[in-house]
Amino acid sequence: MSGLLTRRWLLTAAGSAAVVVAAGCDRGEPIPEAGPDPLEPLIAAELALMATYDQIIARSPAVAARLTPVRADHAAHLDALRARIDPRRLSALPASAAPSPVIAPSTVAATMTKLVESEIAAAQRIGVVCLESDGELAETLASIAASEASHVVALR
Amino acid sequence: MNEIQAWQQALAAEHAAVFGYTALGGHLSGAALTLARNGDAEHRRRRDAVVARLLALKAQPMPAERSYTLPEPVTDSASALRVALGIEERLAAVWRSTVSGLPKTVRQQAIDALSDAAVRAANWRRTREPAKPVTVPFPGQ
Repeated sequence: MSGLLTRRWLLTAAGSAAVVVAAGCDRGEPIPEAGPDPLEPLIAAELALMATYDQIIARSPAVAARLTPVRADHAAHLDALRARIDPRRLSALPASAAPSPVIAPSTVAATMTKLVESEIAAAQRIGVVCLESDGELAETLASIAASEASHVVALR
Repeated sequence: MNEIQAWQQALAAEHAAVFGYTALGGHLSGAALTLARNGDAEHRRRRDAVVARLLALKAQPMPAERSYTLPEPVTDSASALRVALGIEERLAAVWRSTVSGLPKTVRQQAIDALSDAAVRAANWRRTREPAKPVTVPFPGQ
């Protein structure tokens, strides 16, 4: 089945069985035909990391100068990932996230250690998706993974 | 770009990086010298790994040139630090461009090499100008 399925189409073309399907769509919006994009978890992870950086920057002015450029890199990564998602799916994704709950250490050193772990984990996740991607997207993902890996230098 | 072309391109860049790092040592000291020695050793290791890939593919690995043109003459510590950063930025660009040419089974090697170049570039930026941002959002772009 190709193209967009609308509630109207379902109701008129598919009869009573479709009513059950359409009842799940509360506003009759087009239903994207594609499943979740593998970039979606990466977008969610970028949002969570940015929220975490925002929280730490607000609490710890002493490290703000070091962390602000790293946060800016993540914002650029987020934009690059969003630009590659089907707009119909993008509109359904959250626009922000809560800070990661794992990051609530008391000292600056402990905070930095947690951030280093988060950056390394993020780079690895992006690398996994890169292996399953093609062409320019694969190159962009490799570049984003490399940027996040390099954040450990800024955090040390 | 096919797989052999991608590896050959990476090999040419690693040859050039090894040449460049060799030119830096005499002008650096302390932590910067350690960074240069580590970079030199790492790029020799990566070069050898790429040679092994090409041989496994029954391809003739591209030999190193007798010499390479550096972005500027290395005459002192400041120029050595600029050239060191330039070496890693160039490597990042080349490794990035190989990613889509490599099969998924061996692509991790390019991702790791690109990440390593980005980390080294960040270290060189921090050594040169510690007060400025040390990372970039899209290494190799």
